[in-house]
Amino acid sequence: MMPPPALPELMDDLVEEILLRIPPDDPASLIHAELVCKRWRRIVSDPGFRHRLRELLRHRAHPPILTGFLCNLIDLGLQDIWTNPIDCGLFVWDPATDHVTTLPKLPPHVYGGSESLSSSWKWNTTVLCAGGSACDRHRLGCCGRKPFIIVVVGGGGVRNYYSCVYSSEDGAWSNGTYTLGHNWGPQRNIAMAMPTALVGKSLYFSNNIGIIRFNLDTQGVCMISLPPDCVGNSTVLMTTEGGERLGLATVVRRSKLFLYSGVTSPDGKVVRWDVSRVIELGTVLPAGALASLYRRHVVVGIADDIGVIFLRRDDGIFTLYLNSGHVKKVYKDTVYIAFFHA
Amino acid sequence: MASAGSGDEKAAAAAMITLISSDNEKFEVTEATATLSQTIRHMIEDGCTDGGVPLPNVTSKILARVIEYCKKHATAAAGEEGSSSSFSDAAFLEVDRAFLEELEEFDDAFLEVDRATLFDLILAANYLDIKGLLNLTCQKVADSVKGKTPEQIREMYNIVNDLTPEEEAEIRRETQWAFE
Repeated sequence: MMPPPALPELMDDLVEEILLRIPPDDPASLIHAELVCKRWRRIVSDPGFRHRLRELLRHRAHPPILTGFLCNLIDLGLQDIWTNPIDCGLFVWDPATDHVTTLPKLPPHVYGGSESLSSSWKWNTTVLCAGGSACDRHRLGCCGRKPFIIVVVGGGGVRNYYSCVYSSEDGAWSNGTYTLGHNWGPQRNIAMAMPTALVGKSLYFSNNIGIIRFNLDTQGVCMISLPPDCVGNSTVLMTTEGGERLGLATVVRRSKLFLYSGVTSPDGKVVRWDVSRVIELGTVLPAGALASLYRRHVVVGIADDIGVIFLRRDDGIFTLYLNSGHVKKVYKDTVYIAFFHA
Repeated sequence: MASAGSGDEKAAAAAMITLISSDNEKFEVTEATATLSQTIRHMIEDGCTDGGVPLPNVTSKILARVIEYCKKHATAAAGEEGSSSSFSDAAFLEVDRAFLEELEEFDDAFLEVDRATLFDLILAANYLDIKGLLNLTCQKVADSVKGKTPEQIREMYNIVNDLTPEEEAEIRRETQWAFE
């Protein structure tokens, strides 16, 4: 057989132009391209390439190739997050470019003088776009890469909540704000490493008993009630109505996935929860090893911009596409798995 | 089609440019066609097109194809200018839509070439700085890569695998999900 004719040699720049245009609906294609030869690998794994790819997709209003990632917190040595954000130290990692920014330590006084209780304080954090006058969205990346802000909210001890904001422009943390939570029920812990949701100027954190609302303007926090069915269940926050409303997903009675949409008052409090959808997971997910009686489903994460819910069952992690109903098993392990939305 | 007609008239009134391929073949084109190439546009602006524009990196075979693309798309650009100054009523929108469809059909047919020609077109589009053509041709190659295994891609584009088995194993380990 005749060998195929030699193709004209393309410069690196042109190979990059081609690889950037690989249709983004099949991310595995880009990995396959990486395995073609050393040159293609070098081009695809370059941070500049990843940055350009992300910009290109944003320009086309296409959801990012990297929706997020699942990780096993114990494997990664992230059990440190079970301590407090001051002792474990914080850094920001950009998974698309692998760029890491190490943050200065949180000011120690955020403990509010109850240092002895610090290890029992639970906390969560999120990265937002710093925006500025032209930006009212605050979603990360909405105005390009930088600047960003980081919000840390923690709670514990007897009745305190603290919040602290880092600004990449200032390179420093704010002084921190305290809120007393006299009547917020017995448990004030924040659910750690769980998704947060941003609606307008309100950033919401879940704690399985209620929802903590952080006000981006005043930097204060307040407590919002969950729908009664959700209390005590693992509850994952999301946005609905194109980011206009706060939503949440939870599994009730082991296998009923409830999606709620909250109606908020102008001050960001939820005045009513509407059930927007109920999905019987027992009929949607493939049959597992355990009898349905013993099978329990837990929502572990959401990519609300593309309508995907991550569910944990005894035999693995599944994705459920809300629009198509398509289900896929994406991971075999089940313990200490967190989903981080990129 | 009033808008396309006025584009033709404009083009006829414009100056002609001579492009000279690497194998010394001469091509007469209108300025509107030639200036889809930013490289040639700059040469015209600098007044260095007298006696023809030598393009030592482009063969006559490829240049003929590039000119074919530019002619079609220059008419499209002129059409767009015409319609933007007129009322966008339903009739005009209908004409625009039909024209865009025609342009898409032209692009699809234009890309029905062998791989060597496609690569030559990419090189020419890059050298002549014709954004639309570069996008079109690169996209064609990118689409052909989608859904293929690394082995299939190598075979299609005659690429030698110079990754060591260790490097391959490392990539596969890190990205196991892509091979399931």
